[in-house]
Amino acid sequence: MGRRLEARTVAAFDSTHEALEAERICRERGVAGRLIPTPTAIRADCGLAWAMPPEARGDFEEAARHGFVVAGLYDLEL
Amino acid sequence: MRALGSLGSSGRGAGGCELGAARAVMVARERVCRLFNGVRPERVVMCANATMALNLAILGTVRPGDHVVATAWDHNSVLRPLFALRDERGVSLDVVGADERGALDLDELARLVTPGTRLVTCTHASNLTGDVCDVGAVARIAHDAGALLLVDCAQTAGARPVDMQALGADLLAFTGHKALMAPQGTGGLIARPGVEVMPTLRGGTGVRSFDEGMPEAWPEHLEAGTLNAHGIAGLSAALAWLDDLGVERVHRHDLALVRRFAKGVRSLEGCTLYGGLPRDLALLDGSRPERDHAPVLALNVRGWESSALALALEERHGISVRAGAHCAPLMHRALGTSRTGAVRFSFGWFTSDQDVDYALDALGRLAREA
Repeated sequence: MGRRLEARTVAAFDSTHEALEAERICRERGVAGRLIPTPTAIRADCGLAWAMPPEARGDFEEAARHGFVVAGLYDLEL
Repeated sequence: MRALGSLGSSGRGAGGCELGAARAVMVARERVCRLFNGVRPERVVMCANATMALNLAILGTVRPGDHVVATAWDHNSVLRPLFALRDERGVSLDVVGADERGALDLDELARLVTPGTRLVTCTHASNLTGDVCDVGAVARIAHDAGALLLVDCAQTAGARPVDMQALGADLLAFTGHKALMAPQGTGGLIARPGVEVMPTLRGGTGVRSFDEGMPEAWPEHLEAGTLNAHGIAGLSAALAWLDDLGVERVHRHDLALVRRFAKGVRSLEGCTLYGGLPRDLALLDGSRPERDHAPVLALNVRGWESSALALALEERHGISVRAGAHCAPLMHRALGTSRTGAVRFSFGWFTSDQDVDYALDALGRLAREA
């Protein structure tokens, strides 16, 4: 029996600094999710990615407009 | 101490310890950026010391065949990379001289810097005399010719306000272990956005591991290998403490000590104080920024070889000073102290008037022995 996978939206960043900036702004704005090691499916990455429930994507994108740059957004099963 | 027991490796995972390290480094970058009025915290590159930062800046901006202008005030951490580039990569190097009082010849600088000059280096304050360079004037000369300006702030960081943008520095190097009172093994390079610096060190960054080259994004662009997160946490704590205290307050404190010490030394028979200070003591009241002074002073005492004087100060009076050449060969040459060296006194926030008076008394006793 395999591990049950969950749908997650994952944001990748170009640098650790940007990932941490995203974490700070998301925390300030109450955006769901957390930093995770970047899944191997995402290669153009820094080592950290922000994983969130798919329904948080809108809040996340709104947060990004307040001061961080996202290298890519991916819908994955983790 | 908390950092030693809790921080992992920054940028190398998303566990609590690793994220704790990454967050600590980010906060430190922001504090460094604020202290020096940098533009963007990600343009703060963490290094082991100012020497590493200066090497990254020089080796990352100067290409074979380029022209560079340095000054006689520059430390070996600037001069040696430049001499190597001159000897091994065909870089053309000119060095602006200093007179017997250590004053830089800015007219000579203006003559030497031409539209083909790639980089101008200068030291914010001489690590030997403590005299402060008119960096604004150097920046105007460099920028008028289209050259980059690299400023070595090893002696001034934490000892006086340093505004990178106001100075006109394109690249600024600092160390943590002097007036910032941070642990040894910390320092950094700050680059103005838009200034291209090629990586000198290449290796793991935790970022874009499948790319053959270093990441384009800063600070990882120049930060190969595991960072000294524990030391950086110490740097960060020191910066927070200094921010609460106020650098301007430290500056006033240090200047008062410098004046007190210099006045005392001038009254001692047989003591020679180097640099512009003996002339400008009365101007060290903050009214003339170009007459500022870093909290170091170099001197010699007649009849004493500099290392013997340093040893006597330590053994008989418990005073630690630095004798010798101070990694500043061209400045010693200008001052005429290549053969004798000099003894350098350093002051800081935790030095008191009583400490200065004690040092003056010790110097007086030793001078009378000669």
